[in-house]
Amino acid sequence: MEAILKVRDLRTYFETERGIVRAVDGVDLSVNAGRTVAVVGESGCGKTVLALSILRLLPMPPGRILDGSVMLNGRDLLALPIEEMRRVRGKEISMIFQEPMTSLNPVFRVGEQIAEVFRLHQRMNRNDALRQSVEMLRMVGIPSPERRAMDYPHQMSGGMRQRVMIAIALSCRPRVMLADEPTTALDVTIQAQMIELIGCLREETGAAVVLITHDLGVVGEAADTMAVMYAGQIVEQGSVRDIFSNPLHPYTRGLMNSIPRMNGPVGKDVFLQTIPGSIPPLDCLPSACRFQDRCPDVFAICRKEAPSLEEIVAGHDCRCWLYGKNR
Amino acid sequence: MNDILLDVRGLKKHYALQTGFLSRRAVLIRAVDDLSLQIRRGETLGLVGESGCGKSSLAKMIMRLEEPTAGTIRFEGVEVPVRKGRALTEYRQKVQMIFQDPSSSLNPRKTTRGIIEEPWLIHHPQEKKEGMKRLRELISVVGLDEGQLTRYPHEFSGWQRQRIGIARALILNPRLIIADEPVSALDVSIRAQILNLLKRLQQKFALTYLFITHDLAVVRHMSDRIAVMYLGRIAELGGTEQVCENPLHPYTRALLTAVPGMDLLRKSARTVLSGEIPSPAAPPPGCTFHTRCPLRMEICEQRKPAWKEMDQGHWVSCHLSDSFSQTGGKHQQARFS
Repeated sequence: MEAILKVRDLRTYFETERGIVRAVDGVDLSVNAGRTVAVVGESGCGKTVLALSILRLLPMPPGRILDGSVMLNGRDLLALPIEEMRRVRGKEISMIFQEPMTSLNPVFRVGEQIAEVFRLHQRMNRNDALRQSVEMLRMVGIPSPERRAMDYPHQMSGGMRQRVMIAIALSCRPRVMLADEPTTALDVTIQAQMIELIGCLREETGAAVVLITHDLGVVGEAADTMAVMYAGQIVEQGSVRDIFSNPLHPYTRGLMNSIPRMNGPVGKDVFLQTIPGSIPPLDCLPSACRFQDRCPDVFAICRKEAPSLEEIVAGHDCRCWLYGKNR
Repeated sequence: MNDILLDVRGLKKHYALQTGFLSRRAVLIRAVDDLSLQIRRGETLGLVGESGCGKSSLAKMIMRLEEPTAGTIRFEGVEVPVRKGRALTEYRQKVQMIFQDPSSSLNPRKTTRGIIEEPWLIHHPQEKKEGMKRLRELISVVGLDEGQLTRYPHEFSGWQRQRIGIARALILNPRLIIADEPVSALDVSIRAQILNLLKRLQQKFALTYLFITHDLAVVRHMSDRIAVMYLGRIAELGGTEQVCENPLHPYTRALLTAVPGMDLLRKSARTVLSGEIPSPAAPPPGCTFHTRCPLRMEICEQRKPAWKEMDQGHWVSCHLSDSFSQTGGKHQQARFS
């Protein structure tokens, strides 16, 4: 199957007083229609900048996309004129943000905010657009949508607001939906509802989903393939099943072992495995392998030369000197 | 009993909320409603619940930052004083808190040293030298170094700040630590470091923890016993294994299966609750959980379920408990599947 979204060698740097910050440094990512790819990483690994670069929503300067392409349906988004990009955004590719309270407009009723998408992209008149927005609210599972469409964002709970965000993102039936930590700000039971909802809507509309998260549990529930990011680069990529059963990169292994599990041992003397140290700031990365200072398996070459992302097993890539051609 | 460190009985906290712009109307928010709880010396009691269930209100009342509307809190057998005075000052030395967001709970104008030693200087103004000694010991235990003592909070990353917050909570040599979502704001790889640190500190200083979180995997890893809170009340209480392996309350069961899992096989067995946590201003009649309960019966809408011990130390508040008294929850398990 042909990938609907194809990111090739994307490089987004920030020019700051302290030097160049390589937030996204040569990322390749693709996702097929009706599938979900998860981009996993901790804060500061560049996963949000990746999403904003795809949508071209980064403030430039200080940001700069130096290189790469973002192919959506055979068109390079990075090469589109701004006017054209505006038509694509929200219609063919849309985004669900992490904090629904700050990304909804507090002075407009939610129904109008959804209707705006229809009026802009499908040139509907006001009444049709409003009627359509009630339908969207119904689709994302909001009870009595006619009444709720008249609510302002502050009258809704966090879970409801996130549903509204999803309704806005889906209203033009986009081919690709980017979701940046869509469940992080929500309670566990609401989180479970959102994961189900995004999964159902993906199946209904056939959209591809790029799910950005730090939560490996959410990845296990919702994604087909995953890419693990560390310090601006993808260090491991493959199907969720392969990576969960056989994590290759020492960072992925460290992450998976540092999480308490529901079936793990309990007791006063049970300690978690940890990854020593912390994430290096992106403006002073170690040369060669970026994980070297925290890696339990570090050896001489890791400090001399940077490994590349190589296919180790079919469909399972890893950026590490421990494996394959890198060895 | 001697080994009970903190004994909370019939605790209530009601807030009166003014609503309406022209016609003033007072709405009563029942944040904590008739809650009883014991914490044993040296244990970690995990308190789980969703936002708005009253877990932070409970923490604030134990800290005496808020006054309860009704009920008593006894610490080491003595009732916690309501009024300011020496007794309350002494109590505050024994009970300390670790907050969720380390960046907003540290004074930005103070150095690390100033932050950590402040509680000591307030309670022991005459013993500065002693305080400095304790501070030196603590910073190495929590994993900071002395060179960082002159730095300000903004110079640290989130996880280092949480270490400062932990050192501050420990300087007075407290008995009970209330940890309110201490790792929720931290990155995954850092979370494990802080959880391990908290466990080690508990052994080293013989601490008792009230560990508040919404993360069931974390609470299971940390706790000896777990209390599940819903809408100002405790729905279920028991040993960690009792609660996690044999959950009796439908809410606990839903929480457990809602945890997004890395175990790909477990995916299918989940109970997704419909709806959201009701407002504590208008709690549903009868069992407060009946609006979301997948096993709702007629009686649930009419009568509050009693608080019953089903197994040694395993308590639940659910009408279903009547029907599985002898089978240890198996009956309910069957109904779920």
